[in-house]
Amino acid sequence: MRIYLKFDFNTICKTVIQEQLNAMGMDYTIHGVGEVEFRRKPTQDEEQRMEDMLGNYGIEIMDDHQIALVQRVKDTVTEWILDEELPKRYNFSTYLSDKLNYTYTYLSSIFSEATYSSIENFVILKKIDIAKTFIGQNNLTLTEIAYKLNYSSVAHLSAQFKKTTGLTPSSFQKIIKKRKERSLTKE
Amino acid sequence: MTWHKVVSSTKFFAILLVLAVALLMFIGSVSYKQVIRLGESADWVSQSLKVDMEIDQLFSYYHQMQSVEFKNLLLRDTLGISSYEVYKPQVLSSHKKLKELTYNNPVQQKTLLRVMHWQDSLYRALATMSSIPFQKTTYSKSDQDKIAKVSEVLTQLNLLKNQMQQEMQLQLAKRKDDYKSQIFFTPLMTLLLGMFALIIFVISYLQINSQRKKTARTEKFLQNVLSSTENIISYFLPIYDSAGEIKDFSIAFTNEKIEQVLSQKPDELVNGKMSDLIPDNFKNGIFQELVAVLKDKKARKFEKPFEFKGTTFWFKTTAVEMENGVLTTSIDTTLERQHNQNLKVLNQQLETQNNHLEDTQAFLNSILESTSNTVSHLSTQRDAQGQIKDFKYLFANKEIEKLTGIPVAEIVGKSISQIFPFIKENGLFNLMVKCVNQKSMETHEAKYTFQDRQAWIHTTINNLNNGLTLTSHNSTQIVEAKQRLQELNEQLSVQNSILNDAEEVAKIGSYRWNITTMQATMSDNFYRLLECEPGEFPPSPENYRPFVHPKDLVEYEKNFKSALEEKLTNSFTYRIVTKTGKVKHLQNSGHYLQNEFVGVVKDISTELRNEQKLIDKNLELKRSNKELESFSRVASHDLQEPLRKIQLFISRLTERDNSSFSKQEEEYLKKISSSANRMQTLIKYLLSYSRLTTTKKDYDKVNLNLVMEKVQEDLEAPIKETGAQIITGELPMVKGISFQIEQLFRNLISNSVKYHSKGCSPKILINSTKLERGEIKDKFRKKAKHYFCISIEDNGIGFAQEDANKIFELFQRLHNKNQYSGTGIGLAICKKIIEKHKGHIVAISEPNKGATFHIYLPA
Amino acid sequence: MPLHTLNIALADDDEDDRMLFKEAIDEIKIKTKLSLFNNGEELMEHLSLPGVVLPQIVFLDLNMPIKNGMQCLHEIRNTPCLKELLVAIYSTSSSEADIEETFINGANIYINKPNSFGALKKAIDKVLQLNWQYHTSALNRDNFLLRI
Repeated sequence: MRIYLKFDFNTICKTVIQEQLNAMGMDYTIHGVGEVEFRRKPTQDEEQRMEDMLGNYGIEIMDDHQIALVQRVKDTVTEWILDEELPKRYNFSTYLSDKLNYTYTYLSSIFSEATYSSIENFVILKKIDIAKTFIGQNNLTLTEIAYKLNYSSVAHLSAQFKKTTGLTPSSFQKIIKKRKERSLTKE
Repeated sequence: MTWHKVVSSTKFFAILLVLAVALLMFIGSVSYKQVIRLGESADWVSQSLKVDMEIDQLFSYYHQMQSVEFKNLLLRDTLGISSYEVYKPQVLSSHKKLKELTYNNPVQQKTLLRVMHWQDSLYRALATMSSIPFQKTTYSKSDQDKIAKVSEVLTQLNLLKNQMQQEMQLQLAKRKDDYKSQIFFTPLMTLLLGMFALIIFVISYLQINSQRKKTARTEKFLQNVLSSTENIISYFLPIYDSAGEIKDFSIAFTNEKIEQVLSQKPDELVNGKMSDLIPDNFKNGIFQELVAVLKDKKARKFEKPFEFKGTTFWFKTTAVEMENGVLTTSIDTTLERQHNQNLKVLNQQLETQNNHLEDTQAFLNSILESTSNTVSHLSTQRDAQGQIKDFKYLFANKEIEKLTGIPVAEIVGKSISQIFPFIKENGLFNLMVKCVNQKSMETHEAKYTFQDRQAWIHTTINNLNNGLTLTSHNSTQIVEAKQRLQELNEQLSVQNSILNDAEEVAKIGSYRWNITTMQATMSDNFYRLLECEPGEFPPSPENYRPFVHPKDLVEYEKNFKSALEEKLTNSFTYRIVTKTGKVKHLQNSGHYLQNEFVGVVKDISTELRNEQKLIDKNLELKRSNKELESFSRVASHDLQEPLRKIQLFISRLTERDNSSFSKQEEEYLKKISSSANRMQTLIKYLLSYSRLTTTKKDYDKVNLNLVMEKVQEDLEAPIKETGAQIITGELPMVKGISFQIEQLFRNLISNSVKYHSKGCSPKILINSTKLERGEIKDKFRKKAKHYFCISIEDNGIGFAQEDANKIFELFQRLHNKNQYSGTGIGLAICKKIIEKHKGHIVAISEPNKGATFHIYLPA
Repeated sequence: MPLHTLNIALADDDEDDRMLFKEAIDEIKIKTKLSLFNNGEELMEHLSLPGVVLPQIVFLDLNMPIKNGMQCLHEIRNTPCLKELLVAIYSTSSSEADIEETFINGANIYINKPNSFGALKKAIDKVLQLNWQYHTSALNRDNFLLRI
C-alpha cells in the first residue's frame, strides 16, 4: 500500500525544536522560523548537545548570522508564496525588508553571496517547486495553480516552468503520473 | 321403496298375519275376561235372590212365630204344642244362611246384627205373651201391652226386613247396570275384531297363495330357462382347508348344458369336486376368480380359455356370490371369438382398402386442387340435319374465370361460339366436332387474347356422353420456357466456346470423371497443358497418371485414393512433366457431384515463381529495414559524436579569454564550427525523418492550441530576432502523435519565419475550418467524413506554384545555401507526418507574394 | 556555500567527454570532487564498495558499452541505499522518447551533451546550483526534474 502525505515543514521543524530544547531544559523564544533566542548564552557543552540532538533531525545550528539571515529570507519567501493574500497587498521586497528589518538591497547582496543566486531566482524556484507539488497531486488545473501562485496567466506559469525545469508542465505531469503507475505495478 | 312394492311383498303379509294372530289372542283374552265377569254377575244375582228369599223366609218365620202365639192365645191352647219355640231352629238356620250369604256386604251384616237383636226382643216378647192367661173378653192392660210389644218388635223387624231388601234392591240395580254395559260392549268388540282378523286372514291367505303360485311359476320358468339356456349355470360351494382357506369347490348344481362340455350328465356331476371334474380351472385362473368372488362378495366377469380333451373352449363367465357359494353363468364364446377374429381380419382388410381409397381420393383431390386446369363440360347442339352447329356450356369450374376473366355464371348455359367466337378460326371448334363424331380424344394449343392479356392455352378434348369435356390450362410459361430453353442452349454453346478460350488464357484445364460408368472427359486445354493435341489419348485416370511428376506421384495417389473413398476432393498441388519434358505445377481443385468428380487444374508455375520472388523481396526488404535501423542508431550517436566534438573543441579554443588567434584564424574556426553545425542539423533531421514509424498506441488527442504555444516557445529566439508576428485563430483538437504534430508545426512556422521577405518582418496567420469530405477540392484519399483544414499563411518570399510539389521532396531546395540555411528535409518530414496521420498537405504560392500551406487532418 | 566539497561522479565511455567535463567542473567556483568511470559497470562497482563515500550527483552517459546508462539508472533506483542519489543523464540523444523514458525511470536531470564548452559549463553550473538549492532550501526532491 502507499499513502500520500501533505505536510507543513515549518510546523514540523518548530515542534521538533521545541521538544528537543524543552528536553534540555533551555529557556528560549522561537522567532518565526529558523531563529531561536536564549535568555542566557548557552555553554559550549550545551551548544554541542543541541547540535547533536537537532542534527538527528537534519536541523543545523548556524553560527553565522548571515547564513541565518539567508535562511530567514528563504522562510519568508515560502511564507509569502503560500499566503494567497499577502502578494496582493504587498510588494515582495517591501514585505521582506519590513519583516526582517533590513533593507532589500542588503538582504539581496547577503543572499547572493551565500547562495550564488538572487532572491528573485529563489522565489521563482520556490514557486515552481510548489507548482510541481500541485501538478503532482493532480487535483488542480493549471489555471487554478497559476491563480494560486499569483501568476498573471497560465502561459506565464508554463513559460517559467519550462525555463526553470526544461520541461513543460504537461510533460512534467505525464512523467510524474507514469512514475507513480510504474511504482504501483512494481509492488 | 314405493308403497305399492311394500304392499305386494310377502314380508308385508307375514307381518300382517302376525298382527292378526296377536289381535285374535287379544280378543280371546278380553272375551274370556268378559265371560268370567258375566259369570260373576250371574252368581251375584242368584245370590241376591237367595238372600232375598232367605230374608223373606226369616221374616216369615218371625211372623209365623207371632201368629202361632196369637193363635195360642186365641185358641187357648195352653198345651203349648204349637209354640213359637218350634220355629226357633228354623230361624237360626235361616239366620245363619243369611249371614253366610251376605258375608261380603257389610251393610247387610250390620243389619243382620240388628235383626238378631230385634229377634231376641221378639223372643222375649213372645215368651211374655205366651204367659198371658186366656181371657174371653178383654185382656188386662198389661196383657195388652205384652201383645202390643210383640207387634212392636215385629214392626221393627219388618223395618229391618225392608232395609235389607232395599239394600238388596240397590245392589241389584247397580249390578244390573254393570251387567247391562258389559253385556252390550263385549260381544260387539269381539265380533268386530273377529271379523277384522278374519278379513286379514283371508287377504293374507289370498296373497300368500298368489305368491306361492307365482313362486311356483317362477321356479318352473327358471327350470325351463336353466334347461333351455345356452349358458352353463352352476352353483359351487367352497371347500375349506384347515387354515380356513378355500382349497376346492364342490358342484352343488349345474344345468344340462354342462353335458356339452364335460360329456357328463348334471346328475353325475353334482356333489363332485371341481379338482376332480374340471382340474383345468386351477390352471386357467377360474378357481382364483371364484375365490375372489367369495372373498370380495362382488360379482366378477371374466373370459378364460378352457381345455377339455384337447379342445379349447372360451367361456365368458359371470360369477356371483350366493348363499356362501358361487353361482356362475358361463357362455361359450369360442365361436364368438372365432367370429371376432374373422371380423378383425376383415376389418383390417377393409381399413387398408379404405386407406388406399382415401389416399387415392386425396391424391385426386390434391391434383384437382392444385391444378390450374380449366375444366368444362359442354353438350352438342345440332341442327335439323343432325349436324353439330354449336356446343353449350353445362359446367365450368372457377379456373375458367381466372383464365378468361369471364365469371362462371356468365358462361354456363351459353354456347361456346357466343363466348369465344375465335375458336372457329383457330381450329378448336373443328377438333371438338371431330371428337364428338369420332369419339376420340384431341389436344389443341393456341395463343389466345383475353382482355388484353395474351396467353398460350393447351386444351384436351374428351368425348363424354354425347357431350364434351374440355380441360385447358395456361401453357404460356411452358411455351415461353421452351423458347427460353432454346435460347439458353444457344447461349450455352457460345459460353462453352468462351470457356474453352478462357481455359486457354487462364491456363486452366477441366475434367469430369464418372465413377460409376468410369467415363472421363478432359477439356481441350487440359491436353494443351500437357502439351498434347486435344484428344490425343483417351481421357482416363490411368492414361493421365504417367504425366504426374515421379516425385509427386505418391502424394498424387494418396489424394486420388482419398477422393475415391471419401467422395470429396480436396484442393492440392502437384507437378507434372509434359510431353516435351517441361515441369509444371498444377493446382487441382474439384468436388464430387452426382457420381462424378468435376474438377479444375490450374497451371500455377508462374504464380509460384512470382510468389517465391515476392518472398525473397520481402526478406530483402526486412534486411534493408534492419540495416536502416542500425544506420539510424549509428547516425544518432556515432555520427553526431565527432561533429559535436569538433564543435566542442572549437569552442574550447574560441571561448578562451586570452585567445591568441588572428582574426582570420578565428574566422576559419567559425566556418569549421558552422559546417559542423550544419552537418549536425542535417543528421538530426534525417534521423527524425527516418524515425517517423509509429504504432497506433501513440495516438492521442492533441490540442493544436497548446501545440502552437509550445512551438512559439521553442522558436522564441528566431521569432524575436525577426520580429515575427504570429496570429493564431481558435484551433481544434486532433487525433495524433503529439510530438510529431509539434514537429510539423515547428517546421512550418520556422520555415515561414526563415523565408521572410527582406525588409519586412514576417507575419503568419494560422486558422482552421472544419470541412465535409465532399467540400475538399484537393485530391487525396479521403477516408474520414470530416476534415480540419488548417491553413498557415505567411508573407514571405514564396515560390513558384510549379514547385509546390517539389518542396515536399527530400533534399529539394529552392534556394542556395548562402541565401537561406535549410536542410531540404523539413517539409519532407511535414509531408510524411501528415501522411502518417491520414491527412494531406498542399502549398499555394507565388514568388514574393507569400505562401499558404493547407493541412488536412481527419476530424 | 557548503563547507565540505561536493562529490560528483561521471560515467562516460568517451575519453574526450570525460576530459572536457573535468575541465568544466574545474572552472566552476563550487568546490567539488569528481570521480570518473569508463562505463556503467565501473560506476556501479564503485558505488557498491563497502564504506564508500557516495557522490551527491551521478552523471550518466546513456550509450555505454558493458552497462549502459539506463541499466545503471534502474540499478540505482532499485538499490535502497542509492535511492536518494541525484541522477543526471548526460547524453547525445535528443529523442523525446528517450528523455521521457529516463525521467520515468527516475532520472532527475537530463542534459543533452552541448556543442560548446561554455554551454557545458553553464549546464553543470545550473545542475550544481539547483542541487545546492534542493539541499539547503526545503524543496521537494521527488519533483526534482530538470532538462538542459
